[in-house]
Amino acid sequence: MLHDLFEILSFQSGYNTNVVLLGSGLLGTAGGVVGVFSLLRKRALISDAISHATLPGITLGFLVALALTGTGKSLPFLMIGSTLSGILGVLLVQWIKDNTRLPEDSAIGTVLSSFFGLGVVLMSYIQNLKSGSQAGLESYLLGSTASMLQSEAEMIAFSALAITILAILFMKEFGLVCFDPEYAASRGWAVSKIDLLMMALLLAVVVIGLKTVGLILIIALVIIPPVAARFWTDRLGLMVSISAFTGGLSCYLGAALSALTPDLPSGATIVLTATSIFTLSLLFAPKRGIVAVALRQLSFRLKITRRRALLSLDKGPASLTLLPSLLLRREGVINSSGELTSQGKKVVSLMAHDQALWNQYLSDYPEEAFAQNKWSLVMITDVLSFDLIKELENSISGQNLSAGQNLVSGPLKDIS
Amino acid sequence: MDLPLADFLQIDFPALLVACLAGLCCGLPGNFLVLRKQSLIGDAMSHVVLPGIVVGYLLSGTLDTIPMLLGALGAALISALLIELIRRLGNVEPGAAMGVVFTSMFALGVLILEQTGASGVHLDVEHALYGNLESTLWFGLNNWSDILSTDAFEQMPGSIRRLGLVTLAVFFVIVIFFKELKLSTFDPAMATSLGFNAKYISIGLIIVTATSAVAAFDAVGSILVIAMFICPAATARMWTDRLSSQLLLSAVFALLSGSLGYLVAAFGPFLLGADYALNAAGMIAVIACVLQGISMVFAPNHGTFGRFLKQRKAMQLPTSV
Amino acid sequence: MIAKLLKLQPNKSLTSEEAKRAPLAIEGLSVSYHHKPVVWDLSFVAPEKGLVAVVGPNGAGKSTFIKAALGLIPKLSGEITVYGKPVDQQRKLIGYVPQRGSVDWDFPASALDVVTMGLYGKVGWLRPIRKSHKQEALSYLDKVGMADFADRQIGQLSGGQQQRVFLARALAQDALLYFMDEPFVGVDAATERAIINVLKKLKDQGKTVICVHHDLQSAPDYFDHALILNVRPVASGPMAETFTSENLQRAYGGRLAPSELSGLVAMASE
Repeated sequence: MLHDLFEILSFQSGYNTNVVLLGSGLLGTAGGVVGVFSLLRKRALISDAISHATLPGITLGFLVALALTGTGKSLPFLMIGSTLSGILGVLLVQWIKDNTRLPEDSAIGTVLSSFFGLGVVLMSYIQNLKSGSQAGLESYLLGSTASMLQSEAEMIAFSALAITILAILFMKEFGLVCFDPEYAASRGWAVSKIDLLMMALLLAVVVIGLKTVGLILIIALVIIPPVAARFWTDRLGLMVSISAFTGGLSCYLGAALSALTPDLPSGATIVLTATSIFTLSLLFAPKRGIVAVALRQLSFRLKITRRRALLSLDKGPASLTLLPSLLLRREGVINSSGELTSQGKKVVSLMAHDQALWNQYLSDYPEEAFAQNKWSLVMITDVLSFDLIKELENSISGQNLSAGQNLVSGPLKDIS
Repeated sequence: MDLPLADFLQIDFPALLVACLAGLCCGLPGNFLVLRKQSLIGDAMSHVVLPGIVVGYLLSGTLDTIPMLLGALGAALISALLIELIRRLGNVEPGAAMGVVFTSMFALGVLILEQTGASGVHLDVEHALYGNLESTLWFGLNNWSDILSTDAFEQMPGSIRRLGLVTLAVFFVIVIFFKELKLSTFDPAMATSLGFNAKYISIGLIIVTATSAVAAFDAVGSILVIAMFICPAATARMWTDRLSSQLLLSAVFALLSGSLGYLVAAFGPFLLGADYALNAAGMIAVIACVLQGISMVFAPNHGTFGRFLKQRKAMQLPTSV
Repeated sequence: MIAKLLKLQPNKSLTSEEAKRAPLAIEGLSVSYHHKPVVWDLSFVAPEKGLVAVVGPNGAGKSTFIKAALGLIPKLSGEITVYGKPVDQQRKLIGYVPQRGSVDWDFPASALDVVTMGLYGKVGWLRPIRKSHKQEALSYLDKVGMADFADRQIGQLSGGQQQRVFLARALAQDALLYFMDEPFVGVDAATERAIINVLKKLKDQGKTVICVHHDLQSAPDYFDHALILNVRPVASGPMAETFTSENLQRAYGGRLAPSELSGLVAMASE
C-alpha cells in the first residue's frame, strides 16, 4: 500500500496517472494563488455562487452537445456552458447587491440556490431522455479523477499553469486593488478592469476544477489554502507562495490517494488533505496559531498580573488573589504569610518607580507613549533611551517639589 | 391527463405537505439570518449536517431519526464554534471562515459515507443534495375525509410528523422570543446592556437554524434548505418595512413556492405531454427565486422598477406644478 | 477559566460611603485591546446629578472605558459598581446610547419600534409588548420632537432625526445613569439643540450622564464635569478645575495648539 502510494507520488505509474497528478497539482497551485486575492478582496464566498451557478450551464452544454454531436459528454461544450452560466451568476450577485436592499450574502445565497436548483431540474430532465448517454454528469458534483481522459487532464494542467502565471504577473496590481481600491483608482489604475481580471481568473479556476474536485467542494480550493496561509504570514508575497504550495500539495496528495483507492472520491480527498494542512496551521503557526496565541495571551496576562500585584503591594499590605500571590511567592517577593520579603521590597519599589516613569512618559510625551506598544508591559529601561529616562526622572522630582495639585496617582477623590 | 384522487392524496399530497412545512420551518428563522447578514449560515448548516447524519447512523447502526438528528445537531454546533474560532484567530471575513468549515465537514461526510459502505443503504450524497421529496408516501388516504381519521394519522409518514413538530416548535420559539430576537438582531450591544445577552440569543438562533436544517434536509435535501432560508425572507424584505409583516409575508412566500414548485415539477411535464416528473426540490428553489426576482424588480418601494417609477414621478412633479 | 483565575482583585474594595452612593464608582480599571493596555488603572467616581464629559485624544480609551463600565467587554482588572452594586444587578438603572454607526439602518423597524426597545429591559424576558408600552414610547418620541415620524422606517430619517430617536430610546429606559458614546457626532444644529435640552432635563431630574465627547470646544458649554483620559486618567472633577492648560497638555501633548489651549481654559473657567 505504502509502496504503491510512493510509486504514484513519484510519477511511476503510467502516463495517464502522471498527467492527472500534475494537472491536479497545478490546479491546486492556481486555486491557492487566485484564492489569496479573492480572500483579501473579501469575496471568498462569491466563488460559492460561481461554482453552483455552473450547474445549469453544464447541463445545457450537455443538451446542446447532444443535439449537435449526438453525444453529450463533450468537454468543450460543458466548459463553455459552465463558464457562461458562471458569468451570469456573478453578474446577478452584483446586480442584486447594487440594486436592491439585500446584502451580498443574501445575494450569493439566492443565486447559488436558484442556479443549482435549475441545474438539478435540468439534470432530472436529462435523466429521463432516452439517449442513454446521460451517465457521468454526476461526476461534476463531487469530482472524479478516475474517469478523467488524458486530453482532459492535459487541458487542465495547461490552463492551471496559465492562470497561475497570469495571477503572478499581475500580483502587484491585484495587491494594490485588494488593499485600497480607492487609492488605486486615484492613482490612475483601472480598478474595475483589474477587478474583472481577478474575477475572470477565479471563474477559470472554478470551471477547470469542476471535473477534479466537483462543484460542491471546488470553493475549498480557493478558500482553504489562502486562509491557512493567513495564519503564517502578514506579507502578500509570502502569503501567495504559502497558499500556492498548500493548494498544490493538497491537490497532488489528494489525487494520488484517490488514484490508489478508486472508491475514494477525489474531491473529498483533496479537500480533506487541504483541511489537514489548514488544521496544522491553525494549531501551530507561529504567528496566529492557537498554541502561539494562547501562549502569548498567557504571558501577557501573567505580566500584567505580576505588575498590578506588585504595584498594589507598593501602596500598602494588600490581599492578593490566589494566582498573583502564588506567582510572587515563587519569585520570593512575599513569604508564606503574605508579607514582603526584604528582596521583595526592592522589587516592589523598583516596579513602582518603573510605573511612575511610564506614567510620566505618558503625560510628558502623550503621542509617543501612545505609539509605544510595550507601554507598562516591560521595564521602561528596556525600551527607552537612557537620556529620556533621565529627563523623565527629573520631571518627576520637579513635580514632587511643586506638589502638583492635579497629579493623579490614586483614586480620584476630587469630585463631590 | 387523468389523476385519481387516491393517487394524488397518497403521492402528491404528502410531498406537497413536506415541501410547505420545510419551507415554513426554514423560512421563518431565515428572516433573522438575512437581517443579521448571516444568510450563508443556512448554507453552511445544510452542508455540515451530512457528516453528523452519517456519524449518527454509524454509531447507532440504525436509520432511526433521533441519533441522526442528534449527530447533525452536534455537527452544526461544532461547526459554528469552529467558524467563530477561525474568524477570530485568522482575522478573516466570516464568509471565508465559513467556507473552510463547511467544505471540510461536507468532504468528511462524503468520505465516511463512501468508505464505510453506508452509502446505498439509505444515505447517498445525491439524496443529501436534492432530497427525495417524491418518495414521501402516505398510504391509507383515499378520500379527503380520510385525512382526519385516526387510521390515517397512524400511517402518516415519519418525515411529515417530524417536520410538523419541528415547524411548530420553530414557530413558537420565534413568537415567544420575537421581542428578544428583534432587539438583539437590530442592536446587540444595546440588547446586552439591557440584560438580554446577545451572545446567548445568537447561539439560540444557530440552534434553531440547525434544527430546521436537519429536519428539512432529511426530506428535501440541502439545496432546498438553502433556498428556503434565504429566498422567502429576502422576497418579503422587498415588500415591507415592518418585521412582523415581513415574517408573515415570508411564510406566505415559502408556502407559495413550496406548493407551486412541487406542482410544476410533478405535473408540468405531463401537461406538455411527457410522461415523467422533474426534480421537485430543484423546481421549488427555482420558483422561490423567480418570486424573489419579480419582487426585486416590481415591489413598489424597494423594487428597482418601482423605485424608477417613483423617481420619475418626483422628477415630473416640479415641472408640471 | 484561566482568565478568571488571573483576574486581579484590587487591593482596596470600594467601601467608602461616597462610593456606595455614587451612580458609578470605578476602582483600578485596566482594559487591554490586542495585547496593549488602552485603559490603565482608572479610578473614577461619578457625581450624583450631573453631566460628565469624557474627553481625550483619539484612541485614548474613551469608548473602551464606557463599554467596560457597561460590562460589554472584558476587563483585566478593577471593580465597577453602580449605586453600590455590580453592573449586572443594576441593568435597569442604566441607559446606553451607542455610536450611531453601529446599527443597520435598513432594519425593518419604525422609529416607534426603536424607542419601544428602550422599554424591553423593564418588560423583561418573554413578556410581550402591549399597547400601553407603545403609548409610553410615543410620549418619549414626542419629547424629542419626533412624534410625527413614529411610523417612519428608521432608514428614511435624517442623521439628526435618527440620533433623536436613539435619544428617545434612552429616555424610555428611564434610567438613573446614562452612558452616551459621541451623541453629537454628525448631527444638524436642530438635533444638537434637542440633545442639549434632553441632557439638561436629565440633569434637572437628578440623573447622571456620562458622555464620550470629541469636541473640546463645546465641552465646557454642554457639561459641568469632565474626565480627561489618556490611557490613564489625567484629571477629573468640575469643569473649571479640570480643564486647566496643564491637564489638557498632558492628555493631548502636541496635538493641541497653544492658542486653542488658552481659549479652552478661558471658556471652562467662565
